[in-house]
Amino acid sequence: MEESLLIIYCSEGGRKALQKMSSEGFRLPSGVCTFELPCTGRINDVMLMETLQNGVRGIFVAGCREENCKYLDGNKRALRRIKRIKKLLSDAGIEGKHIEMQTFGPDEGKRLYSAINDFAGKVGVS
Amino acid sequence: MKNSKAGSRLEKLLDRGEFVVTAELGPPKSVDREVIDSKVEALRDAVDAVNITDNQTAIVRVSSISTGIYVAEKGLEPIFQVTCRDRNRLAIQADLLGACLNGLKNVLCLTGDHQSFGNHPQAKQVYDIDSIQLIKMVKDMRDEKIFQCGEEIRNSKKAEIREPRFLIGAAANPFADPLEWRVNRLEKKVNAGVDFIQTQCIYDMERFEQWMEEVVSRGLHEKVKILAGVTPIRSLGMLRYMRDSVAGVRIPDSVIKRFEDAENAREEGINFCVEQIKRFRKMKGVAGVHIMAIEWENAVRGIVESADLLPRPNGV
Amino acid sequence: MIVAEQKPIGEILKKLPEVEKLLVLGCDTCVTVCLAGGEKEVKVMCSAIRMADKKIGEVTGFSIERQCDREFFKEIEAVVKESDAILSLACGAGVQMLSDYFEGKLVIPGLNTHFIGSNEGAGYWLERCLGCGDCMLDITGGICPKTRCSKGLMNGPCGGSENGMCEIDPLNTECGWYLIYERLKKLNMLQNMMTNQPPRDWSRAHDGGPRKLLREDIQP
Repeated sequence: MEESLLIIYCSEGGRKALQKMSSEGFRLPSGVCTFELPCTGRINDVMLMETLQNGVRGIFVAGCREENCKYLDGNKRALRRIKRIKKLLSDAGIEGKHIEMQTFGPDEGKRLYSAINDFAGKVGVS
Repeated sequence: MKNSKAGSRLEKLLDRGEFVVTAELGPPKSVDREVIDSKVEALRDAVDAVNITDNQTAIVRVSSISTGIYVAEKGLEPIFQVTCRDRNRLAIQADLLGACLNGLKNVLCLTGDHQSFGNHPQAKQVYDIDSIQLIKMVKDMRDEKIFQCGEEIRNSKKAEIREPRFLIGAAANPFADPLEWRVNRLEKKVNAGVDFIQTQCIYDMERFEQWMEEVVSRGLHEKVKILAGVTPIRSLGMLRYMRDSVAGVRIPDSVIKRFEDAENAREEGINFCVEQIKRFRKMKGVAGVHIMAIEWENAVRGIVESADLLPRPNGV
Repeated sequence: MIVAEQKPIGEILKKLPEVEKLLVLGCDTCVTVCLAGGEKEVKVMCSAIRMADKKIGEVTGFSIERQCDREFFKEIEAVVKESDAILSLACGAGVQMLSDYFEGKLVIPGLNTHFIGSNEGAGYWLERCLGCGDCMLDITGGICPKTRCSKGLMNGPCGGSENGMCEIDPLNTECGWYLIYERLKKLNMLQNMMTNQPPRDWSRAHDGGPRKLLREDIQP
């Protein structure tokens, strides 16, 4: 991957928030790639680690709010997995790789934009 | 006339039906004779025999047998303790031979606190045998004159049998769970061959009476001598600590309230203890009292005196 | 099954020599089930090592059916020959067998092997068997006093049993003998607890020395 920041989002709340974000005139920063999954619960450890290993500097995951996951607890599982990978990166002393997940309601376009920008800043992508 | 088991002072007093008094002496955590000397002086002539604890709460102290030998030389009869946590059956049997060789006559057989409680939690635990197997082992050494492996206790095929002889004690907890099993566990120890029992410290007198009633109804009081355990309270804080943090100790709310209302907790502690002892003397099946005044050995004489148990029998 | 857990990644990275070619080898049996050393874990480990600050050239990941049986080593003979060291994500038995078979290759254990146990639920495994070689589970209603009792008593419970919990950890550890008592009650076999169990024969456990099992009826 040449892009340095990957945004993974789910087809439900994540996508709706992204659409809201666009419709309100907010644009994703450059150097960003997006990837849609039916549910953030489909994210697994191997996917995250191999993506980071292949050059991506930061992965931002946007999922549905806690109780709103269409697949019941997919978002909760994703949160646990991302927490685990964060700890692994930290314990292994791996610098320059970032990962984060936040949950959004379908109308939280502005907050999504803000969160992505903050993350991009942390990762060092303009 | 009964055949003597070990001929100790404790045994003779129990046999003739005296209400006996025992206490505890914790050895020091260093080679400190003065500590032992002062405890001996505090207890001399106030008790019939004294428990010498064995790495209590898994904290390293001078060993029970060596402290027992030292204490016996000073004129106080020891009850040395063996826990199963630190030694296997070889070491225990060797220790028993050595204890008898050095004149010790009373032994208390305990499971032993788990090593995680003490100052060496990383140590390997032993528990080769448990307290009930230990009781039987000591009994078989004395009465069958054999080691645990079945061999006779003689130095060679032609030598005389020279078995170690002890009065065998164990602990009983009327308050641990499952409550309905506690008399059964006592019965198991009786079946294994125990001669006397010291109970965990009692604060719930009603519960203890119920336990004793069942013990008596099964005739166990005739097979084993039961010494009721007490620990005098020094402060309300101590009482609360025992209620909240010490497993197997039950303290009824009425007792807590009594201490909360008292003007002086220490005085109340002594008074409560004395009342308990007087009540024990009237209870069927209770053969004596075991006073565990942890780091308060100086209180024992006063308690025994106020309970009208002084002087202790002479020349036994 | 054998239950094991990955060593902290910091410890693993410290142990890894800085070689040209490192093989990370997983096992598809017990350690896959307890999520410590299977194919997935191998891949994650490889990525972590590649991104970590270690001068290791090439990291290759592989997983075989079992590392405790020679027949499964054949398929990796070539890749092992090429490797300078192996990080094994198998249990202690696997690490040792691997070391024996590929003598001369440094094998580093990536796991701490804990116990023989059962899966009680998602992410929860419980020690069940010590391998004492002298099973008496029929007497105790299917609950092992060696593993479930902190002191391994044969005539429990001790005086530290309260509310069905063990005094060493009253919030989390059940009293094994309390469990046995309740089970024997259900089975109407409480008289088993009244019998004084004699001392165990520890010579059948590891105390007797490193153990072997030889089946003459099977050996050629």
